Amino acid sequence: MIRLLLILWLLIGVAFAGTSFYAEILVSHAMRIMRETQIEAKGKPTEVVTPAMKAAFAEAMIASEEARTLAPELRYLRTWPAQLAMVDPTMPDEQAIDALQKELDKDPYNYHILLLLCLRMVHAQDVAGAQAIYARIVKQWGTENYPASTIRKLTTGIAE
Amino acid sequence: MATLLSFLFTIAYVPGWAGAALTPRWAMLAVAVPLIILRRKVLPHVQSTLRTHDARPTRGVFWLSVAFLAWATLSMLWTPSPWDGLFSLEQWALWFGVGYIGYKLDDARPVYTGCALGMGVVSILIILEINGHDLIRQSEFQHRAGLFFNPNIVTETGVLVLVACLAYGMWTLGLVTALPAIVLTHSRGGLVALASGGLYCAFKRSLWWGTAAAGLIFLLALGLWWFNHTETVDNFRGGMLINPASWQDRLNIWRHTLHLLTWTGNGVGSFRVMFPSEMAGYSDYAHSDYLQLAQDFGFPGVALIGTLLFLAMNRPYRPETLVVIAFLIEAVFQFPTWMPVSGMLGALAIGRLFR
Repeated sequence: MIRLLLILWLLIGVAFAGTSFYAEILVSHAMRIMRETQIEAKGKPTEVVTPAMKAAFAEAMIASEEARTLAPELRYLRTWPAQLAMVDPTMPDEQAIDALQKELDKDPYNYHILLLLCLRMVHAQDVAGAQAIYARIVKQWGTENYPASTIRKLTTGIAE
Repeated sequence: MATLLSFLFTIAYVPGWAGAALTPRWAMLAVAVPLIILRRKVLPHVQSTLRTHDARPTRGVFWLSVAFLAWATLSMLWTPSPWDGLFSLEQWALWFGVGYIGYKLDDARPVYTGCALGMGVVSILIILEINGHDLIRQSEFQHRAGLFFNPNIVTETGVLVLVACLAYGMWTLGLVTALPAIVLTHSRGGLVALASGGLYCAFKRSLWWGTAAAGLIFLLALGLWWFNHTETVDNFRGGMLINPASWQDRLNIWRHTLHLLTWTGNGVGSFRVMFPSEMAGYSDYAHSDYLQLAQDFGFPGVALIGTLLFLAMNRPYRPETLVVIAFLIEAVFQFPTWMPVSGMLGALAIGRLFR
């Protein structure tokens, strides 16, 4: 009886391992697209974000959604709708800022949303707003991260 | 065989994967633990390191473990995310399985040796990163993480490995392999755990040794504070010793988690779902295993695990006592229970205390 239970447990373990690996394959595909797109878009104003990038993000979204249903630990991918709002070149700044602000209200410590909101405010020439968000990033996350320094340069640049 | 398995387990990593540091290790555990327990038929070569006589855990410990797993299973009825719950339930089953293996293992040194060799690889990778050769670049935000996803995890795992090696007299192996990773990542929780283990050891020897160790630790802490105070934050990208933002984050997470506590808990694996939806924050872990345990399992879960730990710590001293002390201290600030390598070391050590 105990042996049967152990064998059942082993089978569950194999299923657990297999599911996790499959989900990782999906999410790695999504993350690769995301990373490549981010590298291309990093530090640039939103008009350089092309429809091709938007399509790449959409593809990544589909893969990540599928992965999330398989592996709950991949919940961090849930911020992607907000990131899509950021990179959507057709969305006006005001609308994107409003969408991101709503996401931020739900998730006030989310680093990615803070970053995206700040960048979008920079793009909208809202210096005070961008600097306020930047201050939150510094307060909550420190100043050592590369994107935070990028934002500092951008916000300082606009202020000057 | 045990050395090789634990070495491979410590370095299991798939570069380029989002869950590079976690998924392969959980997968290895999920398959290896039941296989090792079924060893007689499947892995006879592993059996050589296990006790040959029929060693059964004391009845009380056995029933406490069964009661906890039964409560965890029952909590699947009200967990808000059954899929999360299933994963978490499997993880808890693995920890009890690892504890059982620890209980039956005659000699745990091969396991600690394998983990130490794995930490050696991590130390080398971190040293290379500091010197400009970042072979395992994980993200913009994580530096000096080696084969773990976060420098804090490196330190907490390194401390457990180091304490285990020191407790078994494997000083050179522990110091050479794990110490560089611990020192270079600057994680506070791990250092506090290391200091506490040292203090316990020193006071156990004599009052004089304890006082001397306390003085030394105070001076070291003062030195580290001064060093950190005079350096710019940018020099501590990997894991800052004094970072108010990081402390504030933890306090926020703890405060929000306290609001989630109920008598029966929110169910196995519920933290990830409950935390963001209830408190509008975001964290996968409560950054304190005790709080997360209480959030998931409520009073019955805390009482059962608390009793198990109490019984374990009341057993006669053995080298693993120090490992368990370090693990329990790390669990105050971090989440070693939910990380594969540190969780395995903690569960193995707790199991061995019942021998």
